[in-house]
Amino acid sequence: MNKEELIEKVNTTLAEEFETDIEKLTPDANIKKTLELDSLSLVDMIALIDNEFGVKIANTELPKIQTFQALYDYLEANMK
Amino acid sequence: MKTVFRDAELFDLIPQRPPIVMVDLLQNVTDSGAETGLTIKEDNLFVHNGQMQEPGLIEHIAQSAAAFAGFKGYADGGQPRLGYIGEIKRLFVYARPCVGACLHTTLRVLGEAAGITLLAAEVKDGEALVAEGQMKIFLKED
Amino acid sequence: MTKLIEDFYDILSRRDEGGESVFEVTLNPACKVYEGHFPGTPVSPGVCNIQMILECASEVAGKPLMLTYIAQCRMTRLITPNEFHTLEVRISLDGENLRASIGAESVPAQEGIEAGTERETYLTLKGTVA
Repeated sequence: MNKEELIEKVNTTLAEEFETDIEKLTPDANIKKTLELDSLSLVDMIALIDNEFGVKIANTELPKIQTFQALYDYLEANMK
Repeated sequence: MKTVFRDAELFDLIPQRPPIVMVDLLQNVTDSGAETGLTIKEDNLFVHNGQMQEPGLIEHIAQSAAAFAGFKGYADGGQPRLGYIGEIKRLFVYARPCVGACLHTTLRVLGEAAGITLLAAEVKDGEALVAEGQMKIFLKED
Repeated sequence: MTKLIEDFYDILSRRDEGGESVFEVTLNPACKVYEGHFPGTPVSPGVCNIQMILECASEVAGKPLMLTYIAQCRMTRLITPNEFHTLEVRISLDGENLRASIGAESVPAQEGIEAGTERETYLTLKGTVA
């Protein structure tokens, strides 16, 4: 999967799960605000990412992943 | 280290006490899951007309998760922490198991974030699946 | 309708409001469930609150119901028996589809916070009954 395909898959997966307009998922947008995640639904995103991309986001890493761009970069660096 | 917990031994792992103890076995604990059990007795709080009602099955899943979380704390030498259900998702109840049934439950961790754990559970009575679904549990900080 | 846990709550009143049935209930702090949930820290078990919803829905349906599926049930605040004088259980039943919530008309005061007057919801449930 190249980076464009990765971005496409992340956006499609997240927009569908959290019923958000995919146009709103721009690289600089804040993930939590865009997907309207609260403390309960944040863990849904973590589980979804693990399931779809095989990447476990550790609690210590989470604060660093604020924007979609940060998420794409993290996944690219950590996918096998 | 102790790896199988039965009956009152579970009180080292869970904060619940009679009459609302809904798990009597914890075994095969790994980082990502565990197996639990419950033998349904006549005097169980959630038994009506000889059958375990839906909240009993859900509470069994919740306390299985509590025991699993408690085991991690126990392994670190800690006390069990109060755990609460934050959310129940896509949970199916297929049957009300009868008094005498031995429930066997498989727990799998799907994700963790900010003190909340998302788990998937399958509850079986023998070979029959009686309930399955997802639950989010949060543990109270000391 | 039979209650699973006899003394967990009492229904004070029932009214219909815009397609919903609203039950005003009161929780009983002396219920034996609090001996174990948790010793010294009474918290209403989420599953007992779900059973209370199911029993109110059974009242609306006029027959005992089984909760066969929970699409989503969110519990956003702990409910304790000593804190609330009354709670509102709202039931909307359309065939087998159940939507329900538990909330309070006014929020009890907590340390450092004045009592509120806004209606708040503590538990919401979407599911299927049979």
